[in-house]
Amino acid sequence: MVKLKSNDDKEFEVEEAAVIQSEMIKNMIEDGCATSVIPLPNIDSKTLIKVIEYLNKHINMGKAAETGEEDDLKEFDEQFVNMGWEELFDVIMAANYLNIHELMELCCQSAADRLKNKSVRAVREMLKITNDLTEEEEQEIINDAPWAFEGPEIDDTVN
Amino acid sequence: MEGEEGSSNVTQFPADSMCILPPEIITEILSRLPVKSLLKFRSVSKSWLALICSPEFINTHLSLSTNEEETLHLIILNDLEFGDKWCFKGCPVASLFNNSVTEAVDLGYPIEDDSYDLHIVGSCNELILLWFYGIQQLENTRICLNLDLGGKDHLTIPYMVWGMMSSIVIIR
Repeated sequence: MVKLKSNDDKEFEVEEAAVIQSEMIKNMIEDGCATSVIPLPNIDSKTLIKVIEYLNKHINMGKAAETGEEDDLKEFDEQFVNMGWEELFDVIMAANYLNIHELMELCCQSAADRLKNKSVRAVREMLKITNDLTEEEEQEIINDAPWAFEGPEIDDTVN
Repeated sequence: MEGEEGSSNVTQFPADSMCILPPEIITEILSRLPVKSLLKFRSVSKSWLALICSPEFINTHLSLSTNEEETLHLIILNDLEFGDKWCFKGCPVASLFNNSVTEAVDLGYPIEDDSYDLHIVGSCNELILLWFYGIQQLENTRICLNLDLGGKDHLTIPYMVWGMMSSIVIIR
């Protein structure tokens, strides 16, 4: 078992087979730096619980193909990313920090799917981006491919 | 965007001071978006415009999107005899091997007028190079069609570029 500590001082025990899906922790274990508790100063307990849930479910990913559990895993993934926008960002940041490739892939794809049909205004608001383009520059981009800004699928809601 | 080039050989994108995600994560997410969304999101901010138009990003996006099985297209050109209009249809090559029934999807067609002859010269990186001839105003027009956009965007290629492009396409 490996002990992980979140930035709000909560400790979690995770099986080594699960936790080595994180390249970062795998390297720490190989280098003999994981003898006691591994502090994770960038991750809060709420996010860490989500990450551990994912790691535990994906522990036997290699075996899933043999035992026909692929659909089960796919369903889990779909449910897993069904979370709030801010929460998804926290998990992406944690997956990036811990270097968990599959989790990063899953969450970034989910973020992309959510952004895909959003209006430019909605994207700016969702990601808290300030528009620093001049009106002329913006109009030039729109004129370049006006059809990309039109269509019934364009969604102006922020969530 | 001016002034960025030449100052350094490593492309640096200005970070949005307010953005809640760091630039490397924004790149990860945006590289998973379809081309239409990317064209739209160029107008989000200066840093997004610089990112989406950079050759590094375009390469990453292309290698990610061509990894997907569905994007390996087989192109079928409908003959006028079989319908009232020219159209391109495509289906994933893999589906021909794996599925008992394969549905060909309409890929769109750039020009309304269909009373002329057309040749596909070649394709690479989800672009098709077409050559129209036989009608006055479109005589010898060469068109580059982007498959990823369902035929919505196309470029008319000037004669000078044509020779260069056709040799690139043949090499690819």
